[in-house]
Amino acid sequence: MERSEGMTEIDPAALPDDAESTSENLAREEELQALMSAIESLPERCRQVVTLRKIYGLSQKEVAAQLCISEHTVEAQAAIGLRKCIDFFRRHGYGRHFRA
Amino acid sequence: MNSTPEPSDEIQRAASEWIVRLDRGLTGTEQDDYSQWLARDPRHREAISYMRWGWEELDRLAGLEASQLSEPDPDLFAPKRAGRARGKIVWLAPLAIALAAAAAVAVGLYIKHAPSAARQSVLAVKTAEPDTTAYERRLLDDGSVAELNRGTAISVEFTPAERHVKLVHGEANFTVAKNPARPFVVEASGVSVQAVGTVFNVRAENGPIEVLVSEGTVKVGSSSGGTAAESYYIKAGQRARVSVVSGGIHVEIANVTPDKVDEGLAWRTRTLDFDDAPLSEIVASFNAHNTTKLVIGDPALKTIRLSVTFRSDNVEGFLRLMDSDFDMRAERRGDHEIVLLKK
Repeated sequence: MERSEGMTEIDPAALPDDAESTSENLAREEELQALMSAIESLPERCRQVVTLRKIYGLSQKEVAAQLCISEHTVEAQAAIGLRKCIDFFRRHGYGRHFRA
Repeated sequence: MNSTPEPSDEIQRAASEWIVRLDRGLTGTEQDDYSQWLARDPRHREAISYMRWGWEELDRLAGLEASQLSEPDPDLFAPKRAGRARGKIVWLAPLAIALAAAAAVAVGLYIKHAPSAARQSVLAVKTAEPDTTAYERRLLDDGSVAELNRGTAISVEFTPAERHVKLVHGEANFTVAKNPARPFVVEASGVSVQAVGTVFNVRAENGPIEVLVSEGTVKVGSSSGGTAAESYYIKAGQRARVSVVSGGIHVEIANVTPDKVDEGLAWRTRTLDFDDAPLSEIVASFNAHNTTKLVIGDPALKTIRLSVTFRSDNVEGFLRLMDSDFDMRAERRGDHEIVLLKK
């Protein structure tokens, strides 16, 4: 989605009404579900690393400490996890069109 | 035809590794390697862009259920986990994000943006009334707070998808209501800085913009870039110098000590703190914050060393302190210049 140059402050009253936000919420739920499924599909170590990095926002160092593995392993597993998630997205038609 | 086209699997692998490294912050050598890798094949940039999208997409789950558990649970998404009904999590997801938004977790975002030398003359005309806008605290629609120093101009462009603030000129401190689903982006000097639950500091004097991160991660990119524009992740404890170059941005990342981070964030409270610093340094810092400029009138004063703490906008207080404790007197010269002399 392009951000319009001429866009200015939004009047809260002009925001989408409840009906629209409900359908938006449903679409978002499906997307979040797809993201969770992608993480679920990962091999164990990968899944743990991605979960701690992305859901809990831990740094590589923190993940390494929690899982008792080296930072190098965390980094390698995160990269593998990312590739596998991307593959999952491709297989399940989860595309970039969902978001700006 | 290229002699040996690189297999696409190999590109995907390298791109995923770069994304993860970018997220933790690149070393100087890696920075060079990365630039070279990007330049080697147009498909590399494309792969980075796709991988970055995927990596960021996973951030949409950030905070999910986390607030309900005291310890991070690596097996939150274990497939055969007993006792967790999948249907349940679907309903929890939007709720968790909504709660995170409502809690308005205080996220400080400090931006200082002085116009570049090239634009200064033009802007100086437009902002010729230096003291008209005093310090202002503005509540934004999403619950975030923008604190503006005098003479600061921002434009707020909130859409349902993104909270976009343009720092036109001046200096602003943002307390951002946390909402991973609706990024908070500040644009200054052609550079965009995105906060997703982070505390960081951005400063733009003449030359590169400086981004200092004290908590979490920020994403820095060119604000004019399209989807393929490269961006960099700056992590806690890192400082990045960002400049706009043709075709993108140039970023230098360095690790900084906690002391340096604190020093950088002292700007946030606009308190200047000096420990045994030469007066010339103190005056330079002071002048960087004010339209009224101090000049050291007596060369003998330049090298004297002081330990002082004062608010950057408190000109009169600073002068009183110099007068009472350091045997100096102040002489006004014109509207915006004050000369410091020995008594």
